[in-house]
Order: sequence, then C-alpha cells, then structure tokens
Amino acid sequence: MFIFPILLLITGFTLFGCNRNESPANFSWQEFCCRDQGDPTTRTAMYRGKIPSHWRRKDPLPTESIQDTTKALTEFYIGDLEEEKVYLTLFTFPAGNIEQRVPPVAQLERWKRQFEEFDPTSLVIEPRALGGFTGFSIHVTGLLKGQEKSLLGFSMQLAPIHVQTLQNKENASTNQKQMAADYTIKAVGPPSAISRWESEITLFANSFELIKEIPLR
Amino acid sequence: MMHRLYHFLGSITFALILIATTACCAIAGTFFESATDSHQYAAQLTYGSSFFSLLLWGFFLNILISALRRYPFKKRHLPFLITHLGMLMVLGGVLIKNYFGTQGVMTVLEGSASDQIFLKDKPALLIESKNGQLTQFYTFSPNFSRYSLLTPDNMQVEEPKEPLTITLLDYAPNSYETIETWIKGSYTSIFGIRPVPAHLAISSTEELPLPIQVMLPQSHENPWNLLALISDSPEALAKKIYTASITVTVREISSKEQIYHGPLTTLLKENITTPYGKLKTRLDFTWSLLKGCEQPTLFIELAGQEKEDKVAISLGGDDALLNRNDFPFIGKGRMTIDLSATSTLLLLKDLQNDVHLFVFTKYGQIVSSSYLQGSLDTILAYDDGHLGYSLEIKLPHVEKTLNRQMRELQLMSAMQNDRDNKISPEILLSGYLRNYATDSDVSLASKDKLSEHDLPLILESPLSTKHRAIPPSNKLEQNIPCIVLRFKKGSQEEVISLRYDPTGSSFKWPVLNGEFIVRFQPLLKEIPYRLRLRQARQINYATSNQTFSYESDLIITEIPSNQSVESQISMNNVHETWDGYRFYLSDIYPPDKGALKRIQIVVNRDPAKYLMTYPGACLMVLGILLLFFRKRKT
Repeated sequence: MFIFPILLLITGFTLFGCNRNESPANFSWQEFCCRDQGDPTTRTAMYRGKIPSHWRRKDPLPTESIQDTTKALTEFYIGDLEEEKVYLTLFTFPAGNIEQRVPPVAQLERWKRQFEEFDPTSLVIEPRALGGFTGFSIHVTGLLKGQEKSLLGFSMQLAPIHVQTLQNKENASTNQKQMAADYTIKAVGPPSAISRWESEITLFANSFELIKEIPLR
Repeated sequence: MMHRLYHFLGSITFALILIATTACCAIAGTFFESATDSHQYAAQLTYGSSFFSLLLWGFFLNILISALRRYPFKKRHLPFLITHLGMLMVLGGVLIKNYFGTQGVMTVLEGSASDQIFLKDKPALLIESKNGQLTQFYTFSPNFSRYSLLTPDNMQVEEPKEPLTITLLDYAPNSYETIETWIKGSYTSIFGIRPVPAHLAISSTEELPLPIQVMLPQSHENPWNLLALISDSPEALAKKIYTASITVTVREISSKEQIYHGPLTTLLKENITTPYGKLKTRLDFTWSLLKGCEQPTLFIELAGQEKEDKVAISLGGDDALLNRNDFPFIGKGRMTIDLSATSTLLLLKDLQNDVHLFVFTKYGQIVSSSYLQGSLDTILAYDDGHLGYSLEIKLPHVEKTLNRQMRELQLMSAMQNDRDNKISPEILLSGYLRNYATDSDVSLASKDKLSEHDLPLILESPLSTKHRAIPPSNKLEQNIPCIVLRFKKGSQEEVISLRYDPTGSSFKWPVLNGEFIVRFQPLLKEIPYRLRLRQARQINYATSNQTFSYESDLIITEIPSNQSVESQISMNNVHETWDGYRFYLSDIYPPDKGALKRIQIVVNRDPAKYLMTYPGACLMVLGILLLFFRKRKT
C-alpha cells in the first residue's frame, strides 16, 4: 500500500537530482565597451566578465575618447590596505589585418622589460585558450620602479580562423572588426597581494569573453 | 481461425519464439561485429534492421494480447496487468524513440556557437546559391537508385522560373579521391600559362623532351623554360635536367682570366686540364620526399702543380652562390665560379600523384617544393568557392635574383650593418677576403641593387578532385561513398562527382559556372538549443601526460524562450534539458593547452523517456513486487 508512493519518491529523486554549476554569490557579470573611433558616444558594450563585488571599477569619462590604445578600457582597484592593493587594467588593440597584429609573446616581453630586474625562478608563462582567443599568461616577481612587485598578466589574441571570418564577412560592421581586437589583462601589486587575489584575478580572466558569439562562415 | 491466431499471438509459445529469435539476433550481432570490427555492419544486419523492429512489434502484440486474454479482469489480475502495462510502455517508448527520436553530432569551435546537428545515417546534398537565396538539402532515394531525382528536404522557397534539377547518375559505396593540381592528366595547369604537355619518363637515362619556352606573367625573369614530366624518379630527373641547363665559368681571381667556360655536364663527366691545373667537379643534389633539396652544393677543385684549390658553392637556401668551404680552404680560393642558365621551371609528378616543383634560376640557384596528396596548404578560395579554389606557392629567392658578386656584396653589407648575422663565420671570412682582397670591381650602380632583396615567385594552380570507386570494406565505418550528379538549369548542364564528407567541413564545389556550390555530407537538423563553447580542455593526471578527463564550458540557450544556462560537460557528466535533449562530450581536438579547440558533442533526444519509458519501468517494478506480495498473502 505504501510501496507505490515510496517508489515514486525514489524515482523522483533519481530523475530530478542533478549537479548544477553555479557562480559564487559574490561575483557578478559586468560589461566592457570596445574602443571608439574618435567619438566617445559610439562606444558599445563588447566584452563581459565576472567581477568580485569588492573590486572598485574606474571607467574612462563618457566624454573622453579611448581610441588611443595606450588608454585602458577599464581599471580596477583591488584591496583596501596599501600593502595588499592590486591595480588591474584592461586594454584592447584593434588591428587592420592579421599581419599587423603583435604576437601575444611580444606583450609578455614588454611587461618583463618594465622590471628593473626580476627573479627568473618566479617567471611562469603558460599557454591558454579561451572563447576563441589564444595566448599566454605570465606571473613574475621583481623590482618595478624601485619596489618589489608581482605581475599577473594575460595576453590574448583572436585565433586567425575567427579573424578571417570577421574580416571577410560581407558588410562587416565596425563592431565585428573590433571583435577581432587583441586584449590584455594586467594586474600589478605587492607579491603578497597578488598571491591573495590570484584566484579572483584568474577567475575574471577565465570568464572574460566577447558578449556576442563569433559567427561562423 | 482468427480465434486461434489471437490466442497464439498472446501465448507463452509465441513469447518464447520471440525471445529465442531476439537472443539469436543479439548473438549473431556480436559475432558479426567481432569478425568485421565494424559496429555499423553488425547493427545493419541485426539490431538496426527492419527484422529486429518487427521483433519489437511482435513483443508488443504478444504482451498486449496476453493481457487482453484475461478479460473480464478481476482484482487478482491487477499485479499482472500493471506489469504488462509497464512492459508495453517501455516497448512503446523504444518504438517511439526509434521513429521520432533524435541522434546526431554537433561540432563547435571555441568562441562560436551552433544549433545544428549532423544526422550521420542520413547522407544528403547541401547546395547554396551565389545570391544567398537558396541554402537547401537534397535527399536521395533509398539505396541510392541510379537516375533518380534528388528531392529537396523541406523546401520553402518559391519555384524559380528555371528550376534546378539534380539527377543521381552513379553511386559507389566506397571511393578514393585524388587531388589534382599543377599537372592534371597529361597537361600542366598553372594560372597565366597555357597548358603544356607532361611527358612520361620511365627512367632518367632516356632522352628527355626539350623544355618549352613560356612567359610567366607574374615574373621579372622571363623567358622561362617549362618542362613537365611524369616519373617515379624525381631526384635523378631533376639532377639530370639541372646539369644539362647550367653553364659554368671559372676564372682566376686576380687576373680574371677564364680557366673554363662550358656545360656543367662536361665538367662532371671528366676532369678538365687547364693551364692552371686539373679541374675536378662534383655535384651534391640530395633530394628527399619530405625535405626536398637539402643543401645542394657544387664542389670544384683546381689541382695545380704547386697548390690545390677547393671551392664549395651552395646552390640553395639563404647562402646560395656563396662559398661554403670548410677549413683550411676558407677564403683561399684562386678562382671564382659563376653559373648561368635560362630560368627553368620543372614539374615532376610521381606515380603516387604527388607533384614536385623545381626552379633553377638564371644564376644556378635551386629551389624546390613538393605537393603531397593529403597535405596541401595555402589554398585560396575565390568568391567563397563559387569561382573555385587554387593552390598557391611562393618560391623564395627566385625573382630579381642576384649573381655571385652581388650576393657576396650583399653579405658584406649585412656584416657591416648587423652584428647578429646568422651566416657562418667561414662564409663571412671568405666573402671578406674575396671582396676586399681582390674582387672589388663592383660598380656603384650594382651596389644600389643590393637594396632590392630576392623576391619570391608566386604561382597558382587551380584545385580539382578526381574520384575512383574501390571495393567496399566490411568495416563500414571506413567506407566513404561517392556520387556522380547531373545538375540542370535551363540550358545549362553539368556533371560532377562528389565524395562524402562525414564532418561537413571540407570544400563546397562550384557547379553551373559558380551559380551554386555543393557538398555531399550528412543531413543537418536544427535543434531548439544553441550551444556556445567558451572553453574546452584536456585534464591530465598530476605529473603525467595521461588524460584524466575532457571538459568543456558551454552556454546553452533555449532558442524559443532565449533562456541561457551555463553548463560544464565532461566525459561522464552530460547535460540534459527539461525536454529530454542530452549533450555528451565525445571529442576535443587538438589537446594542446594554447590552441583553439573544436569539440564534438553527441546530441540525443528520446521524446518518450519521461512519458513512457521511465514510468513504464516503474510500473513493471511495482507490478512484479505486487505479484510477489499477493502470492505470499495467498
């Protein structure tokens, strides 16, 4: 008499039990604009990433053009105390065609040269691929402007097959060409701070992607 | 009669016959699969066959009628009826899945998304029009009946004024494909050059045809000698043609007096006696299929009464025409070696249909490149394939070539400007001594030419394919069928052959002057979910290269409602939607960490799973338990 309801209950648990992956509650998705062509009002949201709630974000002024690639798309300040503050910047580098692009490893070399000296045993470079982009991550500790700092950076470039698709598409919009831009994420701070926030910075880097999917030919 | 048939269909006897037949089919299937190593072959003969479906219907009838025979039903029949209802629901679910279920494969590239699956057991013809108005699948009649018309699958466009008809002329269950380029049949095929006959050369000892003089529109070194041969001895033939085309001039370095001027063949055959001594020559023309010409070198030795001079002249690569002498002869040459010829382009096709290109420049440099079946690169597509495809080759150091003197001067300039020059110290020294010690009569005008570097010669050849039927293998998974189709639209007609592309990712071939492009591939079906691949990765065991798991991070969007969910699927972790779509990760390629990945997902949907199959199984279990329970009470 009671067997049927018990069986039904067991069946229900078996059928509807599932493992769901959820982001931690203290992260949220935030969007980032691409570079403009001189007119700051034409900036459109192009990227997104998971940002911890305690990170302080600083965007360029709405009236300021960020066509110049030496200007960051966005800056983040992580940590409150001076000894644990990390400064994180996001840059993109739109290029006219594949041949004009700077290889990701060249960005790493540029970052290394910013150090007066660095500990070679602390240098870790790893290849990575995410969201259609390929490149490297770098982690190094050394003397930066007289102070001991660590750098955790990611230099990524859209895979050639996607660049060709975006640039060959008929009537390709400016936005589609901006999608082909390289990007870098660079976090600099005291070694202890970088170590403390490394998992959050890596989570941001691993979640950073184009809002729109890359079209196929 | 009907009464007897009715009772037989619901009898234990019929049930036992069905069970025994099913068991025999299953056993036979395992033997077939083991013998042929082909699951598809075994499935076609047993579990995938119409006969097996008939057995399932037989079970359905048997269970149904055996239950109905108990009518009028009593309370004691309840466990029996529940069990049989459960079995009928399970069987019904299986039959519904066979006819209405979905099973396909989806391929997604990192960063992009897809809502289409390949139905591997349904080959079809994909056709796209140039104006983009038509993208259509055409299906085949059963068993690929010859001369049958292909029918559009779910055609939604209006009938155009001149309808397109596609007729299947021939079908082969297995085929072999040859990619044709540079030499097609018995003629050359190079853009800008009229077709030149390709001669069959059995051996290198036979007399060879004379080359044909052509003008390459893309070259500054015209005219060219063009020769095309079909032979299985590319190395020997190339060496023979090279030596026959070269004239050698040997001069005494200080007086510029000519020691020898004549064909290289003469110099190689015998030692030449000169007032300065005996000239001995050797040519190293080592060539391999994989590496091409590796450091071809000409060795010349002048043995005088008092001393001996040896010069090794590189004939290829970045240090072509420069002295490659080894110690102790570095920089001590009493002679200069200059080579001259008419620029020659030699195409050699071997019996495996691989094509080897050799270029001999007017100063004797050798450049070679090979095109092996299955390993072509730098393919150009014109108008997205509507105007066809071509193979491009860039042959370095061929255009605006420099003679020996200019090469040596170029080397000296490089030495002065760049301390990290990679040319070996021996060559640097010999060049220094030669130029600054004795050979310094290069004019200012010639020095200006140094600013022009050796440019590559760019050649293109249209790409085409040739198909041949071969006996089918018992391992059905290895068979790649081929079809011959006739396309007809108005007065235009064309016949082409197409080979099956199981991944639907290779070229689409133009037909009817490029108005359409077509590909023979699995039928594509849209599903109500769009999968976007964020990242795919291979996880290895710690401190090992052995694979532990494959994982991929996806965003799965339900298209009707536009609701998205993030999901991570791996080898043992599938994603299932509320309406029964299941996504299994079956492959990731390539496995390298820093490379753009492509994943293969098996998509499966059983529409009756939650309505029939699972509830039916529960009822079966309940009925069996009740049977035991009731039996114990009684």
